[in-house]
Amino acid sequence: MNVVNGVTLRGIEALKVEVEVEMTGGLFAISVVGLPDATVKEARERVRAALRSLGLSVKGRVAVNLAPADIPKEGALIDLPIAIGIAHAMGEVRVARPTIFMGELALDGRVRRVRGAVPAALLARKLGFPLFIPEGNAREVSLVKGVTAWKVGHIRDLFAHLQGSSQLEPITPGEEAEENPEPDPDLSDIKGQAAAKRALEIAAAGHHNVLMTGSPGSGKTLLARALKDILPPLSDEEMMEVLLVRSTVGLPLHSSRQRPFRAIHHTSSTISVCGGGTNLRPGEISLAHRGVLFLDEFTEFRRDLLESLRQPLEDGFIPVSRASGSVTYPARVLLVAACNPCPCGFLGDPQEPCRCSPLAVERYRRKMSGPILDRIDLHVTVPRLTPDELVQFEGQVGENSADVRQRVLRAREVQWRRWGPLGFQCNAELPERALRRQVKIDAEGRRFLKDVAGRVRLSGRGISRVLKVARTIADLAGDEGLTTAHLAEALAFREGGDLPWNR
Amino acid sequence: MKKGLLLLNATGGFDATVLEAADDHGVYWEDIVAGSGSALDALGVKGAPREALLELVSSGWCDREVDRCEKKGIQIIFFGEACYPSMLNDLRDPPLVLYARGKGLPSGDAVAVVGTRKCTSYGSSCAYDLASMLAGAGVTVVSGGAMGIDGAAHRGSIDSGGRTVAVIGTGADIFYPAQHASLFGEIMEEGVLLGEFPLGTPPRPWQFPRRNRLIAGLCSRCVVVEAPQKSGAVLTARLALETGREVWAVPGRITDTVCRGSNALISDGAMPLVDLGEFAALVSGRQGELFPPIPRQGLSANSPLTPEEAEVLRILGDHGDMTVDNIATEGKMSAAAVLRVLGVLSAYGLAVPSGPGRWGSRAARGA
Repeated sequence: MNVVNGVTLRGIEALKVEVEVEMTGGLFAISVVGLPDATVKEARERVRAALRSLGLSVKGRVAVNLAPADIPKEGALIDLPIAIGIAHAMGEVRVARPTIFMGELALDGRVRRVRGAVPAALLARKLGFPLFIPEGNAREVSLVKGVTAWKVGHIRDLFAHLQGSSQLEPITPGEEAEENPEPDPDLSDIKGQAAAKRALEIAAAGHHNVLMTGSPGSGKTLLARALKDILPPLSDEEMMEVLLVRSTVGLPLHSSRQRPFRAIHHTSSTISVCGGGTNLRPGEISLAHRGVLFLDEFTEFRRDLLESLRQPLEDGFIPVSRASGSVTYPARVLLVAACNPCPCGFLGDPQEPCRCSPLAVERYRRKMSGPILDRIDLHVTVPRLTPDELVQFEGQVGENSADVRQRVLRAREVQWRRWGPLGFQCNAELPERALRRQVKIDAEGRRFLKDVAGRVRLSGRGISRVLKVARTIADLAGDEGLTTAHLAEALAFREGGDLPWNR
Repeated sequence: MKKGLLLLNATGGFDATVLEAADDHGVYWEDIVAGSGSALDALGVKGAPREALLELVSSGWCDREVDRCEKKGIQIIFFGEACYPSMLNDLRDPPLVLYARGKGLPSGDAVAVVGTRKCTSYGSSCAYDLASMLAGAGVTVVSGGAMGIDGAAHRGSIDSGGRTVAVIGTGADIFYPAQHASLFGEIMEEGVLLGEFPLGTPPRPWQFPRRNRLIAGLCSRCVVVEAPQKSGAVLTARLALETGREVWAVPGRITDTVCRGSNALISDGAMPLVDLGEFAALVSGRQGELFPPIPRQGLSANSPLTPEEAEVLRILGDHGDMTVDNIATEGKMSAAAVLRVLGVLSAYGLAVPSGPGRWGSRAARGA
């Protein structure tokens, strides 16, 4: 049985790669077979130099086979197993049992940080293999429980460890992740904006996507950032999912349970948002998994980009298919979109006149409809506060994020208990059928809804959204049945319900 | 003669004064329809209009136009016919031909409600409320079918079951602006689309000031709701004044550019419209009490306003545009409660969003 193993990444999954080395006499040459990409092919120079730094000069023809042969191997993380494989074949070190190595080699033998350490750790845990990882990846691997791993700073130390002359430092389970990091920003830091704050609370409680409309400078971005801190903290499982994606991209990890917040710009390419490229990297939507995805200047986004976001918003994952293969990345995000009320941004502003022609406003409005809007339950407009109003709010201290989060948590638990048996987590996920059957409204509320739906010309889908949001409002209040009061508040957040140009 | 009128109208440069010239010179209409040079000379048709007319004559346009109108159910009204609105005779330059699409011209008193396309929510709610009150009093509302104030006026009249006249600046077979296609459809059910341009005439800027004189002519009173200084609505008011119509204007905030023109009209002597109910009573000649200021339209008798709702309405009425924060502070309520109340009030049309995150009341209905 082959004992030296490396890994290669496919999506967020690490695959085991067996490294076989054959050495014969002849002129010196190293050849790597088994679908290596350019980085892996270049590994031979790094490996040779690193081994030389230990005083080990490789001679003769060296054939390195990376099995299974039909999976493309990518990345420099396979440097270390190749080096160990060669040393093993030369009899310099002895690897007693199947082990996974990963790391990029420097010419002087140092081991560099690589991406994909968390998937590798999960693989090692599954296979029950010990794992050697670069020192730079120690922290992320320490967050994976139940894996036997050592951190390697220099290949010399690894040799010593394998030869039994000294011991490497094993990786101990990291400190428990920080439960409540300081919210940034805290809701109480934002003056006024009670309607928007309430919308965010409902969004967090029921996992409803939000659209905020407001003039420039009204604080939309700040509000969106505050949302991540009123969402419940990541659970162990969710945290591992977040780590996995971040580790796959090679982003630094923070060990807090804070939810990710990713803002994407409207000039972003579809690949950078959805994932792809030759090596099938995850996109922003996967980096925002279990957190908040913020689309500022929503109307400026290209239609095809928004179109491609629709499916993942529904499914919670995104398949990325290219010629080089197909992988699936997680993509369960809470979407926050923001836009101006008109092209110049000041329509309806009490201070600044709007300079747009009615046609321009109309055209702008039309851009706001479309594929994503169907997935947005909450619509809220954000006022740009006048200096007078700001002064007026100066003394007041609003609720802080921690208190709001407590309510959100309670509402989430209620939903989980109610929908768990049916296979959903939150109100926003409810399909039409469950909504009609399971959401109970009292007689008066039903009458009210019927009356109002006719008056404000609510579509069928509009009614479903109002019902979902009202259900979340009731859950926040801890009420079992839906009443007129819940429905009325949900109506304030309906699509077009508070747009000044909509009559 | 009818064909002659159609032809002269189609060239775009002639109004009913040409008929006098025709009489003076003893021109036979058959000659015009035949494109006779001497007849055209006598009427002073020359240059590009003359060429256009001859082109139309040679291509048999008249018969096609009449055919098309019949197919589309568009009535052609000629100057001098019994159904030609007599009010238009007051104009210096009455149109030779009118294309009418819909239920036919309403008889009785008519009020023009005009204003800018770029209106504020205050303007559009005033226009809507005014039009619906007038409709309730049986008065016809005339406007220009454009976006903004015009659209709100038509909508208000329709919603209260009134008849409304949209004077359009394109051919009667073209719906402009396209967003108003459904509105025009509703107007035609009870009221009428009226225009003087031949079928297929696309929207062109100079046509709209021309159609404004028809609005001025068709009404007995002209109300300018919101208009900036250089605006078609101000022009309409001027024309109405020249035609001898009463001109009213809804006062606006002196700081808003969209109200400059309408406010200037007031300072120039137009009547300020400060109470919708009184105005409707004045126009219809009925008592004011017949039109109670019904701000609770929609809320049925068995579900009156809750104390919270009344309080929010009062705050909105007292202070004008407010954010949810201000209302919550003023009324000592939670934001959620305010939103709850606003959800109900806006659904029933009692509170209106006046800008992003700001709310106002429909106090314009009087109370």
